Amino acid sequence: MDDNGILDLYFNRAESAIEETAAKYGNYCYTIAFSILASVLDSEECVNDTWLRAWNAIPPQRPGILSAFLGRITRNLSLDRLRSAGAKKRGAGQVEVVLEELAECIPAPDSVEQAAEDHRIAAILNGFLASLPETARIIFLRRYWYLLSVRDIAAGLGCSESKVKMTLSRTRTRLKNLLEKEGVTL
Amino acid sequence: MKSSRLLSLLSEISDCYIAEADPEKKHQSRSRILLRWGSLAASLVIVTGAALFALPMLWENDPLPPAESGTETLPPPIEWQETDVETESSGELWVDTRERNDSILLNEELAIEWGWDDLTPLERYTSLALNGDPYSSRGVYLPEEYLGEKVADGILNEEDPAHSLPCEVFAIRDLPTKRVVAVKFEGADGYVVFFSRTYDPPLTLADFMEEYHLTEYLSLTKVRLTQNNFFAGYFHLSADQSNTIWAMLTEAGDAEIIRDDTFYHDLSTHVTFTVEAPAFGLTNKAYRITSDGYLITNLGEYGYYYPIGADLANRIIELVTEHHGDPVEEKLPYTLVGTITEIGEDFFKLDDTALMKHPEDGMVFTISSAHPHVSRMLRRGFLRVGSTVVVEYDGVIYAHDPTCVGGAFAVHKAIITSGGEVLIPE
Repeated sequence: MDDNGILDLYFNRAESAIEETAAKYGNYCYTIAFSILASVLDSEECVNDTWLRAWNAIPPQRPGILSAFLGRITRNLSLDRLRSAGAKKRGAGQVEVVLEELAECIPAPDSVEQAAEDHRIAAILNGFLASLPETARIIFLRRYWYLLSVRDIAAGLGCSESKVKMTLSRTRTRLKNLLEKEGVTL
Repeated sequence: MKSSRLLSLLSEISDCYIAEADPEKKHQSRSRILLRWGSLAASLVIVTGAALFALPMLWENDPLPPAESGTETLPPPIEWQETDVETESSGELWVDTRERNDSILLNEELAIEWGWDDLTPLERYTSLALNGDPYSSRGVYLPEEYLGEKVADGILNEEDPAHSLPCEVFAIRDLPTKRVVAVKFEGADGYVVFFSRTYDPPLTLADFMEEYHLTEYLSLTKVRLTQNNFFAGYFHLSADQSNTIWAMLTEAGDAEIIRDDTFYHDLSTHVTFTVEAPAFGLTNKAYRITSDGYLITNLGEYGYYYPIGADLANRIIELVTEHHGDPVEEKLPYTLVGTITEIGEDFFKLDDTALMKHPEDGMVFTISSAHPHVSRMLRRGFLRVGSTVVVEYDGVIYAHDPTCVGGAFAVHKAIITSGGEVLIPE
């Protein structure tokens, strides 16, 4: 069923909306959750919570890109669950490694935390992504949005792991320079 | 951990990028898309070329056919409309009701390093030393009714002697000059606001409110509500409700500033007041209250965090939730999107056919390139015929000639996508 058909089911409050969503996007959302949580049980719960959130949100919302809408919910739920679980579980998924890599992008360690700038930073991140070559953008987001391993990214794109690592390194440097230039402190 | 905040903020990126990078999706090279854009651009060139070739033939009997005599025939000068949103007498504004295909992603200008010659005066002079303390500008003017007494003479860009400039420094009404001042210098059209860069935050929330006269200068009437990670809408509160919230915040006057830049706050449920502070020359600043009990604001040069307690925070969130009324539409920047088809001396033409759900709705706009932010993009070759761009303008396009846009003030390169694909009418 195409996305418009699924959304129509939500708008008609047909419970089959969830079945259709799970059939089409179950694997997609589970992959996102598992990359973060590295736990079958926790991942399945987050995916089920995603369907519930979607059911409550649609309508009134009608997402333009359903996969991104669902993936964003799963990612947020998974990160929240990880935080509430504490540091104990962090070693299991990709999060710990990803956080260390992203720390390279943070400007000046002695800078004072800027607050309440999410809007501006999101615009900067979108602008940054727009400025990247397509492949670099996909590699960056598969690593830091989908939290896939370098090996899985390389396999998915049919390139070497070293190429993925090099691209990520260059992209992080570009992001660091941009965030510094824009005066972003996190 | 700061990188965890960056990881969370990545959740805010555009859906199109998320869809593009979907691991389950077979990676599709942009080259095909570029080719299609190239085809479109090429077809435009062909059409334009064909038209240029055909026109003299059509005007065979015209005594002065353009471009046929071999001499340069100048087009009539473009009469840019005065663009004043407040002046209704200039004519009825154009309302664009056409249906669009796509979501738009921008921009590239952030990555451009402009040379000194390309900078506007506001961009050139951003640093001030006053009594040995550093101040910096965000390039905004202060409404003159807030101007106070002159307090000193100063030097802008003192650290760069080749580009330094004398200036006059003024107080801003009753705000402390150790926080913020207004500066007048040659080339600026008014008094420019400079904030102190010395990190010396008010110790308590009460100090912060008093020192910046927040209850006087800030109104908490425009608010965005997020509940359980869902954006519930943008709402307007009444002035009375704003006053109530200020009164509630005084309960937490003893809350002391958080200086630990590694602390984490939960954004799953929060309200963010969009505050305008003309006294600081600022708009679109945030005053956020999170359900786990923090007040966070980016007023001033730094972000300030005060722990106001979960109980008070949730009472404020509850007040907003229960009394917000109907959602209102947020005022978004006025933009035009399309492909540049011609670049002239003081204008460029933009064709937005590719954006339209019905291609016959496409229009060609003639846009003034007088603003320095626009002209430098064209002058330095960042934009060319065939470039896809987003143009920001002042909102004034008159119904009697909707193709003439006089108030463009920024232009960015853009990518046009829909579900991760570029749509071009076949």
